[in-house]
Amino acid sequence: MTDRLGGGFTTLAWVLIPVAVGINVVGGALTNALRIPLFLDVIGTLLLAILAGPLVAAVGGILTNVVLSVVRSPTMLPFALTQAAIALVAGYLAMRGWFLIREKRDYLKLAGVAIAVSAASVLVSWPILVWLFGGITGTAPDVVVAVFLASGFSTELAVLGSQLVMEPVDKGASVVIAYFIAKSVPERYRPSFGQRALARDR
Amino acid sequence: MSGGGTAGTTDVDVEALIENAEGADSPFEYRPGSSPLHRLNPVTKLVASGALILIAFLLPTFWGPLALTVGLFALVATAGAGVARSVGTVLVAVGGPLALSLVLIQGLFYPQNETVLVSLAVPVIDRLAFYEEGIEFALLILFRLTVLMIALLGAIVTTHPKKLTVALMEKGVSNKVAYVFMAALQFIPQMQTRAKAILDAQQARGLDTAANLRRRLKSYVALMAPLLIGTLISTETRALALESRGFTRKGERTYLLDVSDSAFDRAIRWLSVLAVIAVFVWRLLL
Repeated sequence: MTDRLGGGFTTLAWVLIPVAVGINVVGGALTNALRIPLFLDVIGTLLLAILAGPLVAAVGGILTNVVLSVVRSPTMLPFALTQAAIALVAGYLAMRGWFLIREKRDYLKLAGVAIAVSAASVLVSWPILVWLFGGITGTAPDVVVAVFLASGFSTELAVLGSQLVMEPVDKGASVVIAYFIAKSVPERYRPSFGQRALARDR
Repeated sequence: MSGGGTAGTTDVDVEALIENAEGADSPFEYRPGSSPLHRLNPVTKLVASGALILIAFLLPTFWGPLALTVGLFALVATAGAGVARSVGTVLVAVGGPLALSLVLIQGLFYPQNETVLVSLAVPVIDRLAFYEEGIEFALLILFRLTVLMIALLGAIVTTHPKKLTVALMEKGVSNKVAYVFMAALQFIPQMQTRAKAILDAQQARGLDTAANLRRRLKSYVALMAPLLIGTLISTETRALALESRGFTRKGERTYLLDVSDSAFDRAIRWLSVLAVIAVFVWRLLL
């Protein structure tokens, strides 16, 4: 069981981690180029969760925000916990076969993953946003928080409201994109965890 | 440069090689120097930054974090003009928008707002009132976050990443975690270049960056897949190279770089821990 959970911290898994961190960070630049109004900064973490399991993905997720705090803004550091939560949830679901899609109907599983991942993200980000930032981070979602605050909600509810509006869209898109990118990886390059988590190509 | 210890058996000055290896262009990159801040053990800097951040978040009014911000910036500035410029750039680039939205949103809408500080005459909605409670809360959060930024950036900009990893490994962090951190930092510029090349190539093949959202999300996969697969193919080679150098071997390792850890370093680490405990107890008693 522990071996399955870890997906085996093999040398291949350790080498995949920086790749996933790179994808998380560079992914943001590509969303800018395509002018997609989402963050999409957990795709690498989700890919790791599918290909290498929850624990490897959690290491990758935490490292992403450590690196982001070094290359973008130190205020990203606390959200390493969000990345870890997303990694654990997605990796566990990958282990339970929620990314095994053989027929059309199975795509509903991805919706389930999206809901679980969004829920994990909101649950962990919410206290960080309220206690450390008082709700305002100097980024686009501030506008949504401001609207809620202006309509008379408390800081806690305003942050929760904005999270519930934004997260399902962002994390839903991330889960679907991560699945299709994982599928596009040739089987030869998938670690053994990923070979079990994804359906075989025909 | 650093005192004491055995720096390995080569005649080459590793420190000088590293210092002159890469030019710094991003504000987050290492700025070479020989100030006391540069000479501290990297782990000491991390512990002290962590302690300062905790203290800033424990202090109840904005005056404490404000004083810490000013003091820290003065301290960081002693490490050289380059360091001060780097930290200042990020402070303005990240702190600027943050300050603006904090003051605007909290000043206007903070739920505990009562006392009007300034009231501006504005067309359409008549009057716009900024409240004292909201502004004070905004300043509290802002200065806490500036302490976080200056403390972390000061530590990062005065520490070469290689020294940091060696220092961490000497304190018992696994060499795998250290490798992964270094590799990620090195990967990002490489992947950015590669992503740009792929973007150009796909645009030459008619990638439409102004299509509807569904199509653009599809194009996203078309951009990411080659990026990932290209990197994966080189990772296999990397895995073999690491394996052949004993990456997964256990046992004592020797380092080419010598990172000093003086009594002064230990004193600062203990003081940091004690300071956090003191502030915490003070907050509990009040």
